[in-house]
Amino acid sequence: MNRISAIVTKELRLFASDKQQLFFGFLMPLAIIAMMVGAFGGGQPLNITGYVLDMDNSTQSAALIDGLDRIAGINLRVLDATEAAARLERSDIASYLVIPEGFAQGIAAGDVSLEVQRRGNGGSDGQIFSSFAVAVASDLAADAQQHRNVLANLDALGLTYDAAVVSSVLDEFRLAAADQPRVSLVMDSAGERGEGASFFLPGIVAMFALFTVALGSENIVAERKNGTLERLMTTRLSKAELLTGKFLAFGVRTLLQVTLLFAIGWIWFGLFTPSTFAQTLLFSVAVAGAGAAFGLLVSAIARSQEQAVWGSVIITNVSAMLGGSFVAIDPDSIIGKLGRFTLNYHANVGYRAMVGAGVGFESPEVWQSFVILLGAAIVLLLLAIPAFRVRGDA
Amino acid sequence: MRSTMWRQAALIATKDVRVLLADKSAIMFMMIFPLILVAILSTVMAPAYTGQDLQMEIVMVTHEGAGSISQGIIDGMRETAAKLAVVQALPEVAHQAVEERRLSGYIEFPASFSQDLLSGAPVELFVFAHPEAQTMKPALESVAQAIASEITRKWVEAQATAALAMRYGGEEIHEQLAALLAGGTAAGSTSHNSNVSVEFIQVGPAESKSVATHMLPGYVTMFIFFGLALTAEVLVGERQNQTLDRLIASRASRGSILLGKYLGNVARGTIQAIVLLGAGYFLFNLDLGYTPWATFAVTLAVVLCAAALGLAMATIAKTRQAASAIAVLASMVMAPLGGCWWPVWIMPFWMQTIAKFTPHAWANIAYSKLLYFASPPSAVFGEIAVLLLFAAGFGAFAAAKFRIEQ
Repeated sequence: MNRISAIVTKELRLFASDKQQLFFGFLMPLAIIAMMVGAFGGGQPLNITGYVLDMDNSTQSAALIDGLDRIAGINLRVLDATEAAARLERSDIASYLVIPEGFAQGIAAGDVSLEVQRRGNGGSDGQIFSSFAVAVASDLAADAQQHRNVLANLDALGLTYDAAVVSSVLDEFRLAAADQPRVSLVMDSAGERGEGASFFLPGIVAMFALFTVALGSENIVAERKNGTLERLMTTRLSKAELLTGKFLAFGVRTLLQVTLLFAIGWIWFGLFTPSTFAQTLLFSVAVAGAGAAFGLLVSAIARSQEQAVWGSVIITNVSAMLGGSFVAIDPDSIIGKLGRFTLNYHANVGYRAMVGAGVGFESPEVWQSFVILLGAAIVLLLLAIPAFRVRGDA
Repeated sequence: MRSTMWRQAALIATKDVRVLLADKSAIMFMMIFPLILVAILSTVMAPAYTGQDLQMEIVMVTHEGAGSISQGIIDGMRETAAKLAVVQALPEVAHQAVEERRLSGYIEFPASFSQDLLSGAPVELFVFAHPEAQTMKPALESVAQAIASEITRKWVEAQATAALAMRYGGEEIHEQLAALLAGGTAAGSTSHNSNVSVEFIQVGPAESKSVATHMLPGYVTMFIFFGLALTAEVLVGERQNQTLDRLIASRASRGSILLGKYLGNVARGTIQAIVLLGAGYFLFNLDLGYTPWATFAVTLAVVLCAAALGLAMATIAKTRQAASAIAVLASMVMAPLGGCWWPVWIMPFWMQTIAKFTPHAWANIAYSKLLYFASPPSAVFGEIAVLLLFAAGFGAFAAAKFRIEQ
């Protein structure tokens, strides 16, 4: 037992003094999480710049521009005809909205047309902007239609009226409805807490936990290559003790890494309660076990340090992609089905249930993933143990 | 003297290229790994890159039965909504699908919707979306808002008609008014009918592009910068093990070493770009644009810039580990910031502004213009100039700070 703990202590000391491993284990994931949350978090789903050319110069076209300008996430630029055409020609912009002459009359008549000048498909941001323009123009047209409908109703009742009074009464009701709409929207969502971070943090933590431990297998290959492992076998240390020590060292450092990253996530994004944090760490035991077994397997198979490094880089990155670390994948697609064979997928499912939905081991998603990861750890260990060599590849 | 410098630089560059071609791990990282990533991402992201106009599928659910107002709204929208594919689903099925991330979200009419609407009680309309549904969440919200506005508008119309009728007609108009409102203007008779049309006027050709055409240029940019940034580690290693000292001892000048290393980086980057774009063209149906030479010119500017950045990084780092860390960190931050991983418009405006300080952003803008918007080559001269300015800046920094000794 002392010999095993000596190996674990030595490995952890090496890890703590290895700047590169610390960089890949802690600084890199934090930098990427910051980028991801900066891009996707914060609740503002789009930040597009929309370009408008107003050929009508009417009150109604001004109302359309004002309506677009008030939409959160749209940065509106009004261009003149020469500038708009030149910028599209130069491809400085991919599309712009034209409010054509006669727009105001179109609103009054209930038949509105807009124009979009574009290159290619105008870009997805351009398409989103034009759909917003249609919505705002529809609102303006509907208001005009509403006015006509009220007049038609009064005509149908055979009443004589003052048009100014009709407009004034209608405006009063509109103002009242604006304050207290007849129908109110209720926004609800699955796993709202933490916004983007609840999705990205688990994916990136799991990815880097597995990546760092796999990368650590390079050291075992180096020890085999320079005869360190063989020399250890001349001491009273058995192969079983050596493997156990390496496995535990991998597992403990992964656990430390995951704990620190999630603790930062807790402080930064407020993603946890004490209970979910404790359960997340318990779940991490399975992630660390599976990762450690995977690291041992890579070190057992790799013939050179280069193979260990590139095997780790490619397998962990491909697993992260297939396992949905960065983008949600349709589970019924081929990629989604392949993803189920990766450690990342099961780590992501469990972590996201706990971080995003705030559930614990009572949730089938969590305990099933936990059991699968433990099972994977056992299978990977069973593959690694017979393949592990203490000599060779000099 | 000058010809000697060029000859020495060429020899150093040739040696670096030979080292690259013999280095399996470098080839794996610079050429094969990006293609594996693109192959996977092309499959995963295919539905998001159809290249066609957006056709949003809006899922709606109601807890009411046939003949209800909510069912009438859904039926009306399915028949008339332009640019929207309205699909009705069972509430529990849709909810489960969102939780499992198979569906981004849906609009939900509660069980009391019709009753509340007709009785004058407050009415609620629910939008249930996954928090990470970046595009669908605002789309659902805007459709739901349109429904809510339409209902409110009809209600205002009925209220204003009633108030004006009482004002001008008095009590005796009451029965006629009730019949009129019941006949069509009542709050429950709403349906969404857009009377706004959009005409798209095309400047230049428009074709749908393969998924690789949308994704590969960003990854080419990222991996060229990444690959050449990692050469900083090699250069620092050569300084550490006195290889550079030995070159000086063999009469190579500091200038020829610097030039040789730069040309070596350019050659490595060019080989990498040819392999990636070639594989993209033959394996992934990559479209090189209407003027492929302009696409190659942008790529060359990217290579020149990345090669200089690799040298500049080598001058900052004191150890191989530091060089590797700086290279990885800079590459992995600049790539997403510059739009290699996602379109920049999903980032906040302040991040879009910062992105302009990365060469990646200018490269991606240039590729977008040439590959998606069929722009003429002159449209990317500005971006190429900026990339060359970056290259000159990095090169000048490297020339000023380059050290032979450890």
